[in-house]
Amino acid sequence: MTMTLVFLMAIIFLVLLIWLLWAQQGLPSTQVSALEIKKLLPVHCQHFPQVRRLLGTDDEKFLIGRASRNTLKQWRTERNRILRLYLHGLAEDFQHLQQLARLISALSPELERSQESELLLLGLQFRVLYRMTLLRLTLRTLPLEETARLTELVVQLGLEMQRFLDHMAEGRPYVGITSAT
Amino acid sequence: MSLTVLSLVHWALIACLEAALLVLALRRKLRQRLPFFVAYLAVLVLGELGAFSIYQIVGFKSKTSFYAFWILQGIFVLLRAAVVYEICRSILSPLEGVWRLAKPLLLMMGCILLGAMLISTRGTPLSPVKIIPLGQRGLELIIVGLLIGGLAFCRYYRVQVENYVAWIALGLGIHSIIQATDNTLLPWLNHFALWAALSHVSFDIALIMWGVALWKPLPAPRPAPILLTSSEYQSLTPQVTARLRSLNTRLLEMWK
Repeated sequence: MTMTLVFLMAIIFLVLLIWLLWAQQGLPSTQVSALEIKKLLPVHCQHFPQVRRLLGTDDEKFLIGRASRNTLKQWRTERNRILRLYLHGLAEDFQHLQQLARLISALSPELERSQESELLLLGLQFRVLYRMTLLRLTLRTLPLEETARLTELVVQLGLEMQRFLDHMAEGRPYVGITSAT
Repeated sequence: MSLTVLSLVHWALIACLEAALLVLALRRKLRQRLPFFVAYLAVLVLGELGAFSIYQIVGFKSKTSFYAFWILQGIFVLLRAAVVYEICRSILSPLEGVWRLAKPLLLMMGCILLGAMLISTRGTPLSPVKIIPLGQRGLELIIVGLLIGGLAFCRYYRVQVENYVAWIALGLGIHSIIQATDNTLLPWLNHFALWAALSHVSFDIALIMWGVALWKPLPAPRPAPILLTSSEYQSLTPQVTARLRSLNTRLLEMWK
């Protein structure tokens, strides 16, 4: 081990410690009100109907042959920009839902190690896949119908969380979540 | 005594600061929240008095002083490890499930780091001068590991750390990181005065941070959160996990 490596490791530990201590000061505590929990519910995927139209091939087919090459190029660039924004919002929704899942875990008297480790791994996997998907969007090799299906999943998940929260708030018997994807 | 005037002044200042911190901690009623930390401050003050008496009687460079110094250091490190465990417990234990999950993992991490320390001392000549820095480094790394591990749990489950606890934890962490670095560099530098100076600086920083932590009155204790029932977790979490899994599967499919 060289001296530089020792210094580097010390600095990494120090930065990590400061980050862990102070980066969480802005995070919501585990004692959040129902109103604040609602903030965690998916927002961006509610714009799904508008984006679905954008993801369809009809508009593009209509423009081909009618619009100039420049206009078509501009339209595609703009569509990609909106899709990028939408994907970003989708990732935010995912993170919020994951945060909600963690909140439920934090408030549970007993946790299952396998469940928790799977939640952690899924979060990490999503981050990697999301970055790669964004890259694919930049390279314009992203199949649009797949993005649409992805959105449907987030919408479903959001609705289920909403039902669970309603149950928590009103004390109604919880009817369960449909397992179909 | 073969200590310089400057060293004696520094020592006296530090001892006064430690005593002031102990008084402040007792006035702030910290004993009810972090009893090990208050005990550590008390042992620090007593340790300074004890060490000073020993140096006066047998001299600074005697073998008795050497062993007394290292025995005290050992007690301090063990107490600091207990304080770190106490900090993790005080933050996470109101969340029963999270604490039950974190406790064995933190203990396992401690055991692994202890094992690593024992492995790193293998083959080292059985001389206190060689063994002690390695042992101390290992214990300091256990403290840093436990602190980072515990705080990672806090961050993951969005548990807020109170400001005064954060300052105490930062003081402990910085001191241990610098001490571990210092002990690793000792064989290369082979300069005891420099090693001692770095060690003092890290402790001075820690004392200042603990002073910041206790400067203002402590906030009122937070009420314990209302927990959900086990059945709610059992019914919901597997299904949320299944949804997130299918979401990731769909993302993966886009790559096939």
